[in-house]
Amino acid sequence: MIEIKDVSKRYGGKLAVDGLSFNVRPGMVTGFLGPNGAGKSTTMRMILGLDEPDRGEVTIDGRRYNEFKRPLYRVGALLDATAVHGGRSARAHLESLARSNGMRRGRVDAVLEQVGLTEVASKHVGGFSLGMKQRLGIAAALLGEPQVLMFDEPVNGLDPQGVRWVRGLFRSLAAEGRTVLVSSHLLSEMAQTADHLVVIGRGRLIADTGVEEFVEAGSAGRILVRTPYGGDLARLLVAEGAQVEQVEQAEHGMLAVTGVTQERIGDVAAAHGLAIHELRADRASLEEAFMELTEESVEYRASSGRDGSAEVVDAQAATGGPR
Amino acid sequence: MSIATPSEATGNGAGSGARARANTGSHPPLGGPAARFLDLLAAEWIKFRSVQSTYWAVVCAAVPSILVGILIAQNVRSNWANLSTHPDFHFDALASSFDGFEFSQLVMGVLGVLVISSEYASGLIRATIAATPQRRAVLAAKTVMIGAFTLLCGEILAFAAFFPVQAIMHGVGAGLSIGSPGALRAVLVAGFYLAVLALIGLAFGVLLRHTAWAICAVFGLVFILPGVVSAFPAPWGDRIGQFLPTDCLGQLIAQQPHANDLSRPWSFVVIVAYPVVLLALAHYVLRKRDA
Repeated sequence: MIEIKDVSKRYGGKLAVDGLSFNVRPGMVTGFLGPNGAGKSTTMRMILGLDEPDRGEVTIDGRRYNEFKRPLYRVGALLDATAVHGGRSARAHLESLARSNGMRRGRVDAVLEQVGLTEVASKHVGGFSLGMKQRLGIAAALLGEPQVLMFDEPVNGLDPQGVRWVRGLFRSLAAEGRTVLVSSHLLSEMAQTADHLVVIGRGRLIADTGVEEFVEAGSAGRILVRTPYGGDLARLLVAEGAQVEQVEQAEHGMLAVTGVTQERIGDVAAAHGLAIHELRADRASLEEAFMELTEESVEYRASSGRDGSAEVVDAQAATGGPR
Repeated sequence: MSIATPSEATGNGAGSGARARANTGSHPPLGGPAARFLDLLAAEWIKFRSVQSTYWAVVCAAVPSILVGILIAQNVRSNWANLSTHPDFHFDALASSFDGFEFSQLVMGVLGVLVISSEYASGLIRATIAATPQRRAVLAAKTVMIGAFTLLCGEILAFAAFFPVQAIMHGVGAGLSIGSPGALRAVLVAGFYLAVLALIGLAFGVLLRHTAWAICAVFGLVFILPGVVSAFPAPWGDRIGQFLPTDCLGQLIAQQPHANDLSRPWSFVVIVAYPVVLLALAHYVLRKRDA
């Protein structure tokens, strides 16, 4: 459990983190989301005791990070995969970290095996691709088999197999009861990995919620109707008080309707004998929801005020399309 | 011998101090607490020996250190008949053994800088500090590791430079033996001074965090400043100059001490004071600063 209580951090004139509070719970993957420059990395550095908060407190299992004598057994972190000495071998890099925490030698070979770098373990890290460096960074985080794990943008540079592997890894770590915090600026990525989302923008908390609730809040009750009688139906629905717009899609017109329920649209169409070929809630892509919620902190308040009329959206399906 | 005592005191002082700090936390570490500082030392050693620059540095330090002295001695010997009759001729066979050491001083300084600045340049410092939040223990481990390594290298080089030069000078009867007055002192100090420069480099590396700037600082202190200070109007050139590391070194490796400089014991104290003061400052800064 990571607890962040009312934390602020200023660099020079810029307020990087501003009164941020949230908890990261064990047993699930928590996605840490925000646009670039939102304060994700700063927050992670403060969790690791690298940067000192100006205000507030960060604790891991009730303790400040700097109290840990051998922190790799408690917290594993990947901050920046490229932060390695290019002239050093992968094995030497891991051995020095392992040794500093008094680990036995076998752990280095075990994590190299786990991330699939055994064959290149004695090669210079400078020749590694970004994806291989990500694997090395993940290996370093896993060294002490810690209960708490943090990964800053771990998917960058990974190939599709690597992405799938890393998702499975995070899920299995969470399934073992560990606390897993994964940052990303790509919401679609998080939707397939995370159970819970912490969204920040401009250093402030925007949302601390389950993935499904987050998508719901972002989709805001848009309904898509496909019918060959688009013009007629549109006129009838506007008379019902709905907002209707033509969506350029398919050979038959697709209407996007807000302001009435799906049931009402079906009833109206049936009453006037208009055939409908498709009627469904607009499963807003997570990216759109994310953009909407993070663009301005102010905008979030407006959208959170809407009642959640959208259906519960299956996160997998929502992102399956656009990808 | 007076050299051995203070040098050991410096080395052990950094080590035992760090050990005490590393273990005074409120929570006992997992596993045995006694091995803690040794673990950090081993981790630093793994990092140090696993990059090629270490080996290049040793080669770059070794070759000129030994060769330059030999070349100069050969030169002096072949012209000995002319030179020795000159009324102003003075040849310090002791100090000449270490004529090639200027370059190795710079190399060792760079090696000390790189121990920390390479971590700042790559960002590895964050992984290091996240693995060991006791930052001063990290710096203490780096200090002991690079200090011990460069001391060992330095002493080997100093002896390796001394004997060939003396063998050459024996040919004209001007050679010394290690038992000659001051010879052992000079050899030990010449080697020790390489470790001093490595530690000055380490301290500048922590303070400045950038490889190039830190190397500039070492270079400036050791090679530029003496020239600048000697240009000061009398008597300030000598008054300030006697506190420069190069002057103090010269005092300790020469056969005859210079009248204008500090006494030999004080020269040694000043040489030791440079890394001690700079590292103390580095410890303070490292603890306060965001990583």
